Formats: sequence, structure tokens, C-alpha cells
Amino acid sequence: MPRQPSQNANPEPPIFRSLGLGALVQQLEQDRFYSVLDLGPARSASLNFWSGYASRLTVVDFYRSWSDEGFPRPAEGDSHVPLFSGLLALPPGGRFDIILAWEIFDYLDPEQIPDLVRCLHDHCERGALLFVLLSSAALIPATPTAFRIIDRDHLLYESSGGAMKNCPRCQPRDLARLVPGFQMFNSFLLRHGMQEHLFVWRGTEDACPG
Amino acid sequence: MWKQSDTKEAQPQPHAQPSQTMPLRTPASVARERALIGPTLVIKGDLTGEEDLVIEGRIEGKIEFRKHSVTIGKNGHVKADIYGKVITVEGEVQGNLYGDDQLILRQSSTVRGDIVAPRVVLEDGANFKGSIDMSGKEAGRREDAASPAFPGPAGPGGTR
Repeated sequence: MPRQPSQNANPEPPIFRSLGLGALVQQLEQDRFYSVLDLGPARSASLNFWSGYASRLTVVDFYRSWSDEGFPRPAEGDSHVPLFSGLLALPPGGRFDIILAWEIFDYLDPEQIPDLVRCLHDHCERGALLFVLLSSAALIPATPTAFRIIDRDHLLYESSGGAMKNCPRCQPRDLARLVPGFQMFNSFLLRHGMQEHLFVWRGTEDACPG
Repeated sequence: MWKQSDTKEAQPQPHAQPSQTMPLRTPASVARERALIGPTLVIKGDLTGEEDLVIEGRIEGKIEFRKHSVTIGKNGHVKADIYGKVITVEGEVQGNLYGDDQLILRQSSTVRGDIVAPRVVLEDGANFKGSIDMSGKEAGRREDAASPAFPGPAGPGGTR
């Protein structure tokens, strides 16, 4: 059954199975530590989880940063890259092995997604993994769900509830052009109406100028 | 390390009724000295000291209390790098935080900066933007930096 966030206040956020996260963790090697970029809000569960694998966890709540600025947009026809680079404010020279985009793409216009991804190009380690969730539901919460990692196979969906918006319902076949420089590694369609995608960084000359 | 259960703060215990022979205040029960920067104070410059520090005011500069705890209260606004033994943030900080023992970001906190500490407590709801350096692990990072982080896909991804 597709996930439909409850309209009434539910004290117990739902926990759903995650195959994509498990697939990501399966790629990790025991004797290595990884640098992780989390584009969602800071959550203690994620910190605890990644402490077992990561030497550095960088948290940039991209949607909140954008929202706090009033959702600025560039002049018509201009790229979002400078704007998004400024919002991300990633450290110069900082590179990541794992990038958790969560459900951000559902909250961007299709032309904005590649620009956000281009901003990550200069910060990808060779073979970096990008974890993306997309909803297949008709409606999604008006603001992105926060995800808490329960374990490598389960995520807690911390929905803001309340207002809803139309879901772009991005199809997996569209993702290749929306995520330049990355190659799809694994794709999962889950019973609760979510898609989980794992991409691997293959590099491109189309790098972020900012 | 890094588990919330490891980092719970000691809760105050109910005191037993003091007997007549028991001193009312033993040296251990004397409250540690603590400096308070009140909510109306604005300080621009560097702060150092040999006692615990609670900040409810505004500070711009550098705060260095390496052997003591530093608490940025809910009213505190700090634009500085902070060095402390245990750093607790309930207010706003723009700067890097270096905790020798532990670093705690409360739910009400807003932090823009990087964190270096052996133990970090991040309460859900904390508004944090920056990096958390998991000290001591950097040395264990991969030896061959030129090798890919992951082997990459063996074939086309499937849908399950």
C-alpha cells in the first residue's frame, strides 16, 4: 500500500523496510572509514549509525537551507548551480564517499535536480555512492520527510504531516538524465510506495563551476 | 562511543537527610565554580578561564576553556570557535566546536560549524549544519586513496 502520511497526529512514526540502504552498506568494507554527506536534517540515529562506518559525517539540510532563504530562484533560463552551491556551502576540497539525498528530488523541479547534482560533482570521491528515495504516491507531504536510520534494513519516516502537495512521480528511466555523472547501481520499488535508488559516481566533465 | 546510551548525563540524585554528625557540605558536594555571562552582556574578544562557563549573552571571538565545561544557554549567541572539555549547546553557535570529552547539541540548538569530539550527542530537532569529525578514525582511512571507494556495479541494477 502506498505510503500516505496520516493527517492526524500520529505519535508513532512508521518504520519501513529499506533495501537501498542495505545495498549501500553491503558495499562498505570493514577496514575502511568513509566520509558521508547527509543532505537531510541532523538526526541522532543517523549519527549513531554512521559512526560505525564513517570518519566524518557532514550534515547539510539542503531543503531547510533553501526554505530559510525563501526559496530563491535564479533569473529565468539561468542555472541553479551557483545558488545551490551557495546553499550547500560545502567545504572547498571536501570529498565524500557516500551522499544521502533522501527524498529531496521529490521537492525539486526536474530542471533543478541536475543542477543540484552538478554541485556535488567536485565533492565526490571516486566511486562515491548516492542514495535517493522517490515517492510513487500521488500526494506527498508539503515538506520533505526526515528519515531516521533504525538499522541497515529499516528507516523511520518522520513526516511533517499536515499539508500535502502533488508528487512529481519521477520514473526510474528519467533518473539517468537527471543525475549526470552517476550510474544507477541498484533500484528498488518498495511495497509502501517508495522507490530507493543507489547510484555510483562515474565522473563527468560537466562539473560544477561554483 | 557515539551511542546516546554512553553519553547520558548524570541525573541529580535525591539527597539523604543529613544526620547531625554529617557535615552539611562535603568538599565533593560543593558546587563547582561556574562563571555566567548574562543575557544582557555582549563581549567581543577572546575568553579563557579555569572554571566552568555558562553563556547566555552574546560573544564574538574565541572561547578557550579546555579543562572545563562550556554551556551555551538558550539565550546564548556565540560567533566563535569554542574549546572545552564538555561543550553543551542550547542556543546559537556560529563557529567550530572542539570538545575534549564530549559535545552535546540540545534540541533547541542552532549550530553552523564543524564539530570535533570523541563523543557527540545530537538531539533530534537540533538545527545543525556542518561536519562531525569522528576523531581517531582518520588514520584508519583507506591506504590507497587512488582506489575507488566502492567496487561499482557488477551489472545493470535490477528492480525488486
